[in-house]
Amino acid sequence: MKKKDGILILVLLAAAAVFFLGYRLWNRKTPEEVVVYVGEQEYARFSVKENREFLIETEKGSNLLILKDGTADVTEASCPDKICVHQSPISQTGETIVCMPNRVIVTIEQASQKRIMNES
Amino acid sequence: MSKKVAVYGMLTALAFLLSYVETLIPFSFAIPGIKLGLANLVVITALYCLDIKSAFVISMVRILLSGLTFSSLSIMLYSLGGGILSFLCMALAKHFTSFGITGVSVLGGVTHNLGQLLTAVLVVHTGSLMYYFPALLAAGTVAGALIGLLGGLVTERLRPFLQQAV
Repeated sequence: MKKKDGILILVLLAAAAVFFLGYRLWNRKTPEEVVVYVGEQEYARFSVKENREFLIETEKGSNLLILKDGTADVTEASCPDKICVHQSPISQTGETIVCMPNRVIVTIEQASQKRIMNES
Repeated sequence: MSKKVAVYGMLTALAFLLSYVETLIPFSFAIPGIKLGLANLVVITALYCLDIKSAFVISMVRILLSGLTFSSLSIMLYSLGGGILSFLCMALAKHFTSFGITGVSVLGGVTHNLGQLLTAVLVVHTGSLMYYFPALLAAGTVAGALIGLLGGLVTERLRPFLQQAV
């Protein structure tokens, strides 16, 4: 291995660490809501405190979302690749689970402005 | 000519086989898309022992075959996005930079993951996927380095035979 290759590897790993920390700092808001999108449309929105099962049904297929103890996890999917099922549960703001074939996105957000205004 | 066909066929079969071996490894990481990229060992060997054109053809045929055999059409689309971007970057890096085979492979691994991610962003129209980027960057670097080191060993031993055959 050339010395230059080693430097490239170190630089890329350092960049990954910087991006990771940056993303975490940027999203250091309290996780409040689990939001489900299908394509660009918002499909459902729950408080992270809820414990429930929810079936996401789209034209292309379905995914089962489990909300438990502040985490969100997809445990069943109609698609063949099951990437979303294998992914670990998410609990931090900005974390995302995606089912590509069904175009389903599950992400954790801070409560939306609109909702905060409605409640106050 | 027939020797050439035989060598390309053999390398394509080998890449196809390595894709299969890869599906046997029960990798299921927290982040989708993380894998070793064993098939890239063949592509990078072809890039260093044969030429750009043959390496590209082997890579594309491999993606098509393994996509149709082991995964779904949607996964194949991401493989293509990653495969094309990664191949372009490896070919450019090999010709225009002084990186060794490990460096070229690392760039290939990283841009493969980037290509897949960008394809996914285009498909689902959401930037929130970029959340995966840091993990995929690190994983691409590590996997690319391993394949590159291995590729260096393989290339050293196979080059005389492959170049004689073609």
